[in-house]
Amino acid sequence: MSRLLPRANLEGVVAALRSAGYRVVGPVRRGSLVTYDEISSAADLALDVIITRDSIKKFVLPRTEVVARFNRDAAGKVSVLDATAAPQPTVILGCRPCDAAALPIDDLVFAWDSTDRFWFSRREAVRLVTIACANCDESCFCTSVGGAPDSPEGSDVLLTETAAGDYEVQALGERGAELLAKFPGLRDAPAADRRVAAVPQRFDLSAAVTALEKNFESPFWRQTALRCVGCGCCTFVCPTCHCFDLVDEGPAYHSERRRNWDACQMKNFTLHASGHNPRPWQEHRYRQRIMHKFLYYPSRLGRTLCTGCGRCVRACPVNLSLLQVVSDLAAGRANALPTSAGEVKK
Amino acid sequence: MPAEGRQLEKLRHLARHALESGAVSLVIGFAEGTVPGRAAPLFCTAPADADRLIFDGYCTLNLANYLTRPEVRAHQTVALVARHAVAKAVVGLVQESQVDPTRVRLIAIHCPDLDGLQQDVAWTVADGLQTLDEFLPTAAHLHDQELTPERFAAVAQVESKSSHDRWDHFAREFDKCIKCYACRNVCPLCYCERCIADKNQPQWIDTSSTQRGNFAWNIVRAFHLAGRCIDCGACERACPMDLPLMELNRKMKKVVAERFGYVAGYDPKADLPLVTFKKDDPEEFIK
Repeated sequence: MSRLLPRANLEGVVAALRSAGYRVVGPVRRGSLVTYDEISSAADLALDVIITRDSIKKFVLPRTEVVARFNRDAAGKVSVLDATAAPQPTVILGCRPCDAAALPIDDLVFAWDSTDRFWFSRREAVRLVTIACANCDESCFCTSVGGAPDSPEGSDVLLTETAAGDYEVQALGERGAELLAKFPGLRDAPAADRRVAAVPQRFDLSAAVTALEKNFESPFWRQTALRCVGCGCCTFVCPTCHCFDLVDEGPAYHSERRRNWDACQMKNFTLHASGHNPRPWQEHRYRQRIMHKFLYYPSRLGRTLCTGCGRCVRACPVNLSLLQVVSDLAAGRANALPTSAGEVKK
Repeated sequence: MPAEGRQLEKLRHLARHALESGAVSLVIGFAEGTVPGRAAPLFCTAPADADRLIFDGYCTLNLANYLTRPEVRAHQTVALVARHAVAKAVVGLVQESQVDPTRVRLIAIHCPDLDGLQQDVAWTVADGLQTLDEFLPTAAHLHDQELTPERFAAVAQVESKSSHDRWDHFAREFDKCIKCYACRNVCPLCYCERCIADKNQPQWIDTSSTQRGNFAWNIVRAFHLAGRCIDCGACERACPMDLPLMELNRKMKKVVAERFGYVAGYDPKADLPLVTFKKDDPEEFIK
């Protein structure tokens, strides 16, 4: 037997969660774009998409966030005001497993040398009701980085579509059980056929890691990254990329310190005040992104910094596919370059 | 062999020959993308690389963007697989002294404007490697099509709104902006070594992705491209959040055409309307 949520009861779930005080967000279609946004009814949900354009990262690490306020009085005395807001309790309904899995991975860095109270206060306020993927596309690669289209990792409640279009329900941990108790209209039913996408394994992760260890200086990077235009598209749509910049903005006498998303692909990212840039060329910046995800982060914190959602692959304006690059590395192409394409004198 | 196949053979032959003969040391074109519906920029330095070149309706990126990259500048002479929008961007770069026209060759592709993505487009490739001066007369007739009303349908729609509704429209659209700067980074005319958005002493515009910061960025960019944007649409296609950036750029294009009778991308020797001072300017405030 398993617990079943009839599809028609999704509406009741949204209503129940909202009346319990949660902001409910899920995939919402606005023209050509599907992003995670607030919903007031299950009818707002675009559950037919494989994946939203943006990730759930914005609910724990907003693209801009005030971390302090400061005033300067007429005498020039500066006072710093606390800016910690009480985050709104939020349920993400229709989260994807590759998004949910990103949060525990990022917890490691936000709790590493100090505890990031902004991250964790939002984290504490967010509940994830994940729907396992019934479909995938050619950019999905969760199974190549240890995930799965029906992985429960990071979720509080996991819904898996049945052949009849209803959802098999699984509560994970205490938080999940608490949340599921608020779901109306659950019933027991015999285990049914589940609709779960078959995401093929696209590369051998350990072979890619071995290749990274050997190829810091390989011409592979120059060849690969020549087309990279150095925007922040891949990192900003990524559920695990978490780098930020701190800026002071606003009028001189009462300003805000804001934490904004930043991207290692942009040349300013490592630009020193002296004018020196330790990553002077795009190939260095591109190499950093791959090395950080697949070598540095796992060797320091034990987890690969990628959940295989494929958003960076889909979003890259110059079709520089991380999936292709890591597959090339795993296949040993950094060692034996097939053509001289991309090799230029400097 | 079907017509497209013959054109593709010709394209590859031109590129291969250009590299073999030493006429250029780099050919920038397109290869098959990693997923259906995408094409990937390809940098050919060896004659054999030319065998990977393709062209179809997904080759919408503006390759002229790469001409100002230091890695590309290191080459004495570079050839671009250039549909009209790419050549127009080269005109802009020459006009603004960013690119030396004697160091650029075009493998000219004649095809309809690639505004939206569509795989099947009819295209032909011109005979031989062309200089910009050789190319320009072959595209001069397209000037008349730059200002057709169809191109400004979205602009007209925005213009028809009340100022209040226009504000709401752009507030809603700019709200999606995540400040990834893909628009800027794929734009061939956005070549500033240090963009105003990256300056913090003084800081001219908010870097934060707030309403204020997003309005500032998207409007400043449109203004900076006024009279310079060659209407290729690369920014709008690159935007991961589907901002209708060409509504702004085409509005600017329309105003510049009305006020100055100027369309960017046709004459590398023309004065740029917004950076040129004339003593007989009819506007009083400027004197």
